[in-house]
Amino acid sequence: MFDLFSRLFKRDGSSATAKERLRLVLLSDHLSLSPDTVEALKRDLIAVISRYVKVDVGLCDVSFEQQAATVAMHANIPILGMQNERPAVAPPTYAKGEPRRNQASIHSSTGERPYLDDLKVTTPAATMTEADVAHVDAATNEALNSSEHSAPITKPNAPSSAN
Amino acid sequence: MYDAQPEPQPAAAQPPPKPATHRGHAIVITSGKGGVGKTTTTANVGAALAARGAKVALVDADVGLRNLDIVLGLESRVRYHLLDVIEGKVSLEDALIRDKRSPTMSLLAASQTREKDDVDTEKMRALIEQLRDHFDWVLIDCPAGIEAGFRNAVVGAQSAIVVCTPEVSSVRDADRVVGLLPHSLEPKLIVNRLRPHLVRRGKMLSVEDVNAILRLPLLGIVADEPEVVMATNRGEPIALDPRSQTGASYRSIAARIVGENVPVERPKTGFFARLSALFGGR
Repeated sequence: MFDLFSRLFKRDGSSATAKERLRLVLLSDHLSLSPDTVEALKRDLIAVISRYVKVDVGLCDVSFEQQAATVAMHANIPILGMQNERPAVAPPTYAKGEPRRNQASIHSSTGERPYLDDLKVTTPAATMTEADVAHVDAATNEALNSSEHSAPITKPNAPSSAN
Repeated sequence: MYDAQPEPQPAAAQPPPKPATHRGHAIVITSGKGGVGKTTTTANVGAALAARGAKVALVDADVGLRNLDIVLGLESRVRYHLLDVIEGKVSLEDALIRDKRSPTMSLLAASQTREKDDVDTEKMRALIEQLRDHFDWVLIDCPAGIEAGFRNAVVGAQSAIVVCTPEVSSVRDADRVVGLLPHSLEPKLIVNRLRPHLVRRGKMLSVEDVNAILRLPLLGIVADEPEVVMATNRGEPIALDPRSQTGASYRSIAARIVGENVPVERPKTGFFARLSALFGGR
């Protein structure tokens, strides 16, 4: 019964999906920019702005719009505050002496991200590899999502001290 | 047949079309993507123009994949084709097939056994020029794609109609074609196969969505109705059916082509389409 009801009244706009796909595909047709390149541009843009202000990465939107003869880039990047303010969410704690990431990687796909200044590191990260970054990323996410924000970040091959 | 018509006379020697007092206007009907309704549009717009009394020539430029004869129900009468004329084997008058339902409309069929590259572009231009001497309107059914066949179909035209369905792939290809058409052709848009009830439910791109991309003057909107399929099955242009709403869409397109100030009407959804939309979501 609910199914019928929802089918009667649902407006599940797949045309919005079509519109968005069309917009992106024409953008790359016109600019010869691949979707990957657009995504990379967006990532870099957010990374640069994040050096100065805290931004809501999940709500960032970079789009291109065709105007009379040109294509304009619109970036909508909500600012949460200055970069030196303390975040509302307690930062994850880091295990002492562990290597930490020295850069924030920005993922537009996830709404909940650590604030960038929490990820600023004082320790050198010369030993970090891409795998390390990915691992730290995962652990940081986990830490943020857990209620205690206390999951330690470990080396990929070292046993976690929490377990 | 929509009206009981007297049995057509046996193919007596058809008088060649008389030269018009003014030179006719050639329109290429194109889309980039295949299967969006170029041929159906050509046949119906041609029939609607002819029903207004204009002299119309339809040219199937889809060499190797001819279909316009089928849609018009003239396939059994094709003897000679476009390449025969271009290569000087037969005269234009001999190759033109007079449509008995629309006596002012003639078809120049494409050859089925040749390839698009066999057509010489300059000779194609000359052929369209020649047709313009005899007909008010020359409608050129462009093949899909943007290669040699497209160039040959476009070369003799003074204006262009872009047919586009409300689908991502169709809009993308139409966008590409608009970029390839000479600006002098001032392309106009026909949005074909629109399903208004799907648009209302946010399940199909609207005419506005399509034209936000293409930005062309809107020549008409044609709904996706089963009666179009049934008319094509019979080889009878729906534009000749006075009761058909889709036919009326084609007739109003013809009116706008000849310069009448007729507003573009939005297709309404029939009762059964609304009902099935409610329960089937399609």
